[in-house]
Amino acid sequence: MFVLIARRLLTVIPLLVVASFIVFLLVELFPGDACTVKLQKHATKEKLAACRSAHDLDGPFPARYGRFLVKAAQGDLGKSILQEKRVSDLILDKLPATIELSLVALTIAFLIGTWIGTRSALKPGSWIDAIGQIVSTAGVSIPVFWLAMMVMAQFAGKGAWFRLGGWDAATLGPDVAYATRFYLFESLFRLELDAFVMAIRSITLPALTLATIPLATITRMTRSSVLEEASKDYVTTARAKGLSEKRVINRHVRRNAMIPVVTITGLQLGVLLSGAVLTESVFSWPGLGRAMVAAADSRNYPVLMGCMLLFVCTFVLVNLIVDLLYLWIDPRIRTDAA
Amino acid sequence: MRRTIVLFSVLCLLATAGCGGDDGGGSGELKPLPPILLSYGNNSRPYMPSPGSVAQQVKLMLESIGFEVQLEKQEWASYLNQVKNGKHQMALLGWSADYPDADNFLYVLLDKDNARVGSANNISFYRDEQVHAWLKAARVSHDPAERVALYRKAQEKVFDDCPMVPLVYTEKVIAYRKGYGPLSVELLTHPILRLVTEPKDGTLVFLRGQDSVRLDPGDVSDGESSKVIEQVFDQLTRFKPGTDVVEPALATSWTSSEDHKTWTFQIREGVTFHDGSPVDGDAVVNAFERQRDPQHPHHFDDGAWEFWQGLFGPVEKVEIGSHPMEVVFRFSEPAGLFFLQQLAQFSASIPSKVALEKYGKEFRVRPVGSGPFRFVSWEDDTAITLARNPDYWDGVPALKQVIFRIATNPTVRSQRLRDQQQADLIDNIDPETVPQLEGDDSIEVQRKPGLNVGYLAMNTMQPPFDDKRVRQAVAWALNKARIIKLAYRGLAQAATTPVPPTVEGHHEGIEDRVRDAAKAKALLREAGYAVK
Repeated sequence: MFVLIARRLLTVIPLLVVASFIVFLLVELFPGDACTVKLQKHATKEKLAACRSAHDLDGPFPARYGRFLVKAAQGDLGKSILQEKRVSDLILDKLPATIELSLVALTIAFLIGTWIGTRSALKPGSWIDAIGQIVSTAGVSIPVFWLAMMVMAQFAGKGAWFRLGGWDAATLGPDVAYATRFYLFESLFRLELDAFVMAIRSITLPALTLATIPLATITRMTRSSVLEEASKDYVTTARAKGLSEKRVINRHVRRNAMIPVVTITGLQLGVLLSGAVLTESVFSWPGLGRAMVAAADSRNYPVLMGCMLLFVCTFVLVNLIVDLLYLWIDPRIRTDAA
Repeated sequence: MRRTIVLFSVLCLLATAGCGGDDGGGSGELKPLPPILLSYGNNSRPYMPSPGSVAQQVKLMLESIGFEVQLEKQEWASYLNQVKNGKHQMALLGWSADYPDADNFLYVLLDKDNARVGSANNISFYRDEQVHAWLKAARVSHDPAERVALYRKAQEKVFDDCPMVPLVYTEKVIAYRKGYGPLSVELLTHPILRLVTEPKDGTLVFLRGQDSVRLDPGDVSDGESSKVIEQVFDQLTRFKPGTDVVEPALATSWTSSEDHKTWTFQIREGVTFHDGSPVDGDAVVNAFERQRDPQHPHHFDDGAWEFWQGLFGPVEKVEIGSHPMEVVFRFSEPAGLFFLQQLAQFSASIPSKVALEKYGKEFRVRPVGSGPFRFVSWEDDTAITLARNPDYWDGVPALKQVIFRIATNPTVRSQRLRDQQQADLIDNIDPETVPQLEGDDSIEVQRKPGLNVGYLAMNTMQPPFDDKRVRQAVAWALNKARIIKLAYRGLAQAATTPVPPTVEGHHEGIEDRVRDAAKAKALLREAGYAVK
């Protein structure tokens, strides 16, 4: 078992190296450069040259990639070109807002998705099934930035309960001073209700918008999984035993049907990150996605590469965890691999 | 023998080809017009919010007189690089002033000093000696009438030579909630928040498009940084609200020597920085010397220090005068009259020397000045918070707090102002949303012509634009009113000269070329081109 886990872990390393190369290459091929953006109309040849050499933008490509890789492996992603900050600090500042947004969105999607999915599987052809079909088609096909604009126009007018413009300590209340930037979790943990309500008012609209992305997948997965499970022999046995329909569904069908749904939900986390880039931009959400867009706009390469690498790592990590969980759950895979 | 004949005929061919351009035309040997590449950058700028639509209009207008025009849209940084190196034929660009003087437009955009390949701002590469002589003389003259006369001559010559076609002067627009104010569009600075009287003891949220880069006034150049810096710092002089006229600020009075090479300033007594240290000659000298002298301990080595050379390049030394509250500027050449205006812009702000010593580079993210608002906090890419300075020398501001927030999308900014969603004041407004904002009872909109010009530059180093007649033909082909209607939603004025009318020295007597296709074609024929 340990050999297996170790082997699986080792395959991650070349994967990350290849990914980092692609990230570096992409940024290299990106037109424009940060120094011109930084110096604007006051750019002279000398100043540009100085700025480029200061940020390691002017050597040969392989040498720069080599230096980048060695440093990145040590956790040093360099310094932001525009701000006086290390990229790793910048990412740590932005990560909490993205994590909270993703988790809330995922929770919303999971609750709504499994509910609709189960209902529509149990009553195929009913109105709830129709809604399920619409939700999953719409969720897949409506671009999230458009949806975000519509949601804003619809639910955040003058005097609305929902708030736009992200959050920070100052928007949550006059005396809010939190150690972490997990405003939602920390206000709940400290039982500071006013701040918590403000946080909910701020996060709901972006989270709802973001939730539409995994919602479609979760709904469809639940529906087919419940259908499959409900047609199995043990369900018939349970019914034959005289159990109430409610008990059959809740105790037997739903529990077993949820296993693949939970897996899919976990995998959606990676998809959510890319959706967060658009959602955060429209809602001015102070997370990593927006920081990445800003970095791309200003050709702030170190920050851009740092964010992209983090997204890649998260994706790889989520997949790794799912794989390892499978190994643990299902002994057959273990023997196959050995 | 045969070789000689071949060589001779080649020489003949070359000679006729060479003459073709100059011989006045009409002789029957007309060349076809070469295809033209019109380049533009992908970025929205104050003088050109939608460069793509401007390019499209120019293309249509030039095609109507016989040119074949291809558009080339480029990423902003590579675009700047291309035009500064003279690798373009025709390009759309513009200029926003650093100080309100004709010098900042004519010298920067059309003097041969600024036509150096690689770092040119004069991207027409116009190198007229006469214009150069006039602009040089106006730079050092202290006689306002003489300067205006020189600038008028230069503008007339430039209009005739037509190295560029000035297209528009755009308007600056701000919008804010009723119940806040008074707020107004300033020529050179951002809205002056110390003048706001309503709401008393309230908070104002300034919603803008991007975060500040850093808040060290000596070492930054972008508008989103200066927007905050202007509230936190004072300068020696300042602009009278709504004008480009200079009045005393941290300096109470000044004199200049006969040759205008030495300027002496008296510093206001009893003013303190937000950290409690006094504003004195020492702090003022430090503010300028740290920008000028690369060896200065507060001249942080990784800084860009973009503004010093362009604005204060001729300053040789800044030092304490005969007493601690007197500061002397020494110049290598006579300083122009616009020196006092340069002192009023944000890069000439006076930071606390004590704070610079204490924080070092970190001063960039925790600025300390003597201005109407003091810096409180900066949440990266989210919010910058300022609180009023209860000891401000020019009266305590009515606003208790100012928060700068960010929404990248201009449509969202307008929407949030209307919905009162954490937005009391917005700028860089999407022209499409201006009518909506103007129609909203709870919102006040202010518009004023800005200090900028958007123009079409022609590279005079290359054919066909090395010929004045071709350039004039281009000018005759353009319909500026139509460009303004379609590409600016009417929020601009047609430009006749590179100097906007808000600047002293603008030549109002120039009669602009108004689209006349027949005239344009005649000029092209005269230049030796076949035109239908």
